[in-house]
Amino acid sequence: MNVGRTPDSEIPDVGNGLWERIRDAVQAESGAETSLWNGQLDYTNNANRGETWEDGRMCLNRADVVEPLQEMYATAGQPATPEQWIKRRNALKTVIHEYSHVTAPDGHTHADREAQLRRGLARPIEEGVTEAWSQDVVDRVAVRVLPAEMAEQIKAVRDVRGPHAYPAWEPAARSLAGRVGADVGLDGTEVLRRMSAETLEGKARVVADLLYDASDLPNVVPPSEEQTVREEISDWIQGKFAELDALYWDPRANRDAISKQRGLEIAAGASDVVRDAEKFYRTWHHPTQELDKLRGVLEGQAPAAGAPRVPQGEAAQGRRTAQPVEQIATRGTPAR
Amino acid sequence: MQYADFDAENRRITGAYGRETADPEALQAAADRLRAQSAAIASDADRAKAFRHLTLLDEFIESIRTPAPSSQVVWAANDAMIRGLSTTGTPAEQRARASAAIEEIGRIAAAAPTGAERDAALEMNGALAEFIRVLDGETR
Repeated sequence: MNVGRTPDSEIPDVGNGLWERIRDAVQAESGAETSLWNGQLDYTNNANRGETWEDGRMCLNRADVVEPLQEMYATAGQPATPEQWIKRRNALKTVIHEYSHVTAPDGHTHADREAQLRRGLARPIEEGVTEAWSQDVVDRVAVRVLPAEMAEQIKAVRDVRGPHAYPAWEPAARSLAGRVGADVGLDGTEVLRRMSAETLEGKARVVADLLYDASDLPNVVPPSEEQTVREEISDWIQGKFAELDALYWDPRANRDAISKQRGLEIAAGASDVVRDAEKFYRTWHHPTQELDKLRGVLEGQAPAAGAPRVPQGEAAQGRRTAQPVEQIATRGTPAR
Repeated sequence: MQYADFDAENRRITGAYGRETADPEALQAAADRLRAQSAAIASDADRAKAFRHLTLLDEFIESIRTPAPSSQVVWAANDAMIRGLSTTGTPAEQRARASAAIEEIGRIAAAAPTGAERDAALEMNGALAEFIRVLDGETR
């Protein structure tokens, strides 16, 4: 159950429950099952605009995030400059961004989130997806949480709001979602939404699951291997996204477009991983069958007793073809 | 045309940017040729998928032709952040680099020509603050 702002929070209420309304709107727009915000809302102690701690505490910058929103309510109905509305819009975006970091499926705990943060591998995809999705939903969240006249002013400065943060990761996240969506028949914004509802490491898993479910893998991968294959696809995507850190950025290139290009290439590579796994599992044989076969050979029996040979393609109906034991041994790690 | 042929050419056009050409019109001409060929994909499902990818390819090329709002300031802050998130060296060295990156982003943001660019630059301190907190093992 979602909690409200705690009484000992440093940041006061704004607009009679604005912080809670934004949290609820982020959940509603993303479809996330829960929020890990623990109700504590304090100021950042540095030049950081916002951060969410492992225990669910959220911190927002006083001058850059909290005060613009306080001023918006305190001066409601009075004229404000476009620059003021841009500052208010970007403040709202930061709050959405921070709440999006703590959306999660039911059952995900603060300890789970902390463990994922400590592993650190998912930070690029987490920040890229969170910034892209947060920017996309500012208008809709504004309509949900602000009085109509304020929401209209927030929406009015959308096209002059300025550049987005995380420019190496955000365009890549968008194009990754777009290409995976094109592969499976979903709009890229829907893929991004599904990713936004997930945890740090769950974001790549969303993409992996979409590709897996749209492929032939459900027909050829035995149930005992399914989670492993899904995780391997997910790990591959997350790892490639993390490599965006190490890119050589040609100063003459349009770096936003290069980021987009890398996102498209990661999605294409993930499809290749899926195709490779399909090829492997179409001819893969369960080790116990092979052991039965080997046992039969050692006992002087016909090898067919434990491992019926079926034509390729019938594996899709759940049967697996015979394969030499040594070949299995050399292919112990499928889907690479 | 088979879908696999379409996919290979789509990837070639996407990959050409920055490696073979920076000219969006050259990429668009290749995309237009691919669109014409894609009409011959026999399978309805594959043809529909190809056209979804062509829409993405058009959007990619348009983003080269007409870039979204961006700024040297935000990219400079991004580069400082990525240096600050490096996991090489001891935890103390990592922490020192991340703290230095926060200070550097502060200086970059202070010199930003617009408030919006300042906002976007400072936003990236969030990842660095989180990185430091994890290094410190802090919890409230």
